[in-house]
Parts: sequence; C-alpha cells; structure tokens
Amino acid sequence: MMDGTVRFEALFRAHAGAVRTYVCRRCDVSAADDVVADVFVVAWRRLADVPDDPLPWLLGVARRVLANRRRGEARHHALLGRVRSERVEAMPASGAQSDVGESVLRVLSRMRERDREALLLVAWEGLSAAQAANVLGVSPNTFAARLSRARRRFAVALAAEPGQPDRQPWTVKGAALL
Amino acid sequence: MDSERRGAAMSDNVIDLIRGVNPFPDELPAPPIQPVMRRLEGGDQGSRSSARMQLRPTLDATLGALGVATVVAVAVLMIALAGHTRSWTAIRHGATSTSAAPPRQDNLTGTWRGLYTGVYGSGTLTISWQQSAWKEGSPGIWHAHVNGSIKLSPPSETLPIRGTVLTTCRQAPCHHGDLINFHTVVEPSLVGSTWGHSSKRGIAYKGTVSTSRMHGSYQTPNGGRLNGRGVWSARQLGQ
Repeated sequence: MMDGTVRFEALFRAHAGAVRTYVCRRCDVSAADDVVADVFVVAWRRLADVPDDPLPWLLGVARRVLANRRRGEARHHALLGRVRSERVEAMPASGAQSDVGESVLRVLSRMRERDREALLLVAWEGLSAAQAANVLGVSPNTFAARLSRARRRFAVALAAEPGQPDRQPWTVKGAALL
Repeated sequence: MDSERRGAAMSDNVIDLIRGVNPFPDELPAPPIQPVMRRLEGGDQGSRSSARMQLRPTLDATLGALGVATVVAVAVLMIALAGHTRSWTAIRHGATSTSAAPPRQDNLTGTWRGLYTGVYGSGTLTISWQQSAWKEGSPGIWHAHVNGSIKLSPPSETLPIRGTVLTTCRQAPCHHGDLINFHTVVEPSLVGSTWGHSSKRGIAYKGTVSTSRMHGSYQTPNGGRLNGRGVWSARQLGQ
C-alpha cells in the first residue's frame, strides 16, 4: 500500500506538468487542472497497468478524459464551431493580413481530429512515433502511416490557404510531399 | 535515397511550422497534488472501490438502484452547496481544515509593471486592477475575478481589462502555479483602432502567476490590424 502511494506520488511529480501542458494545449485553461485530476485518479485506480514509460499512457488517458468532456458538451461545441466557421469566413482573404501562424492554426482547426492529433503529438508534445502510437492506442506502423497522411493533408491544405503566394516554402515543400 | 532524405526534411518542415504555433512551448509547472488526493480520499481509492464492488452482488437489485439514485442526488446537492456556500465547506472539513480560507493570503490587487514582446515589437505594460474574493467553485478549485486597466507603451493606450485567476489548492497559502486569463475590453469608441476590432474582446492574455510575478503569452484578436502573438511578464509593485 505504501509502495503504491510512493509510486503514485512519484508518478505525479514526474509527469503532472507534462499532462497539464498537454491538456492546456487542447482545452480551456480554466478546466485543465480538473482534467489533470481526473487523469491521475484513473492512474491511481489502474496503477498496476501503468507501464515503465508512463507519459504516453497518461496522455492517452488525458485524451480520453478530454473526449468524454467534449461529448458532454457536444451541443455547446456545435454552436461554437458554427460561430468559428463564420468568423473564419469573415476573415479577410488578403494574405497581407494573415501571417503564417494564423494560416497554420486555421488549417489545423479544419483537419480531422485523428490527423491533427497525430501531428500535434509529434510537434507539440515532442513524442517519438512509438510513444505517440502508444497514446493513440495503435501500432507504430499504423501511426507512421497516419502521420504521413496527416503531413501530406496539412501541406496541401496550407498550400490552398487564400492569399498565400506559391513561392512560400511550405507550399513548395508541401507539394513535393505528394 | 536523395528523395527519401528530401522527403524527411520536408516533413520536418511541416512539423516545424506546427511547432511554431504551440500555445505553450514550455512545460507548465505541475499542479498541486492535493486535489487529486482529496478525490481519492473522497471514495475513489481503488481498494475501497474494490470492496464496494464485492459487496454489491449481495444487495437486492432494487435497493441497489435506489441507493445509486440517492448517492447521485446527494452528490449533486453537495456540489451545488460547495459552489455557493463557503460556510458549508467549512463545516464539511471541520475546524482542522483550512479549505474554507482563501487559497492565497495575498492577492493580485494593485499595480503590476512589466514588458511585452511579440511579432511587431516590444514595449512596457502597467496593469492596475482589483481582485475579487476567492470562491471555491468545485472542491479544491478556487477562482477569483480581476478588473482594472492596462497601460501599453507603445502604442500609448490604456484599455480596460477583465479576467479570471484560477488555482487548485487545499490549504492556504498557495503561492505558485496559479493560472490567469484576462483580456482587454474594447470600448465602442475604440473599435477599429490599433487593437480593437468588431468584438468587445481585445487582446487575450494567459499565463501563470505566483506571489508577485506573472508571465504568459498574448494574442491580438482575429481581424485586428496588428494580428499577432507574443509573450509578456510583470511584477507586482504594490497594492
């Protein structure tokens, strides 16, 4: 019992920051600590299942906790999504006013969740392909294929962003990915 | 082979682009463990749950359903009371607990001065605001509101701001890792100015705050003339 408590506290100390960062990057900051608490309650319940490399496992739990919360707020998000899409359409088409970051965010927001998450686990969380596969509960080969497709779709979508001149490096490189 | 290398480099370019829009490039500090421990002490502990599961088959199904319904009703009532009644929280934790006390002995009220830097330059900021009393929305999760003004230079502008500070803390004082979100409020006369646009929400700031320091990132509104992101930090001068 004591060993379990010590192990749990060590797990929390080592990884709560990374889990909190993962959550803050994907939901309202004000709800983040609540989600982190949910994740570690699950970790306590399933302490025997936590692998030697616990971070991908914890992020996988966090992903499911977030998904459950989103399902609970589906109606709210549907409304929010409609408002967002209206805002995106209302944004000026001129490339002069939209920087690269805005375009990248816009493309990410339009991607399918599974494609976006594959990209973000590598780019934002800095996970290896094997770790990211663990988070998503798929094999490394499946993840590699998914990541490759996501990269290609991202590059194509970014190249199609309005107002982005063809000479932009990501357009050239994105096209070369096809 | 060349095409493989070129493909890998190009793929890295996509990842680099996405990495560039990471809203939290650095790892945040870990939240306090106390809210988690409190939840575990409150009945989520694995061994206790197992014991309950072993007893459950011996109960009559109807009584079990009634029991669950009662527990849910009581839980809903408790959450509602926790959100609105500080005194109830004090009773629940007894005289030895300090949960009913505000999670920080000091607060954010006063003047904060600091710097900002972003895609279109750097400057100073001076924040003067008042913080409301802390409220415990959910057990262990406290929040307070801030209202005041921010003076930016350049451009030389003073804008009203409003926001929320959030902390998870069981025992006072808690001084670290609180999350803060605030935004400038665009007055009708400022819509269309340097910072404003059609929304009442102007620049959005988020970050963390400790006893006398805070820092984070900001983003100007979509559609604004100076569309962009950056970072900011400030120190408290006094109340």
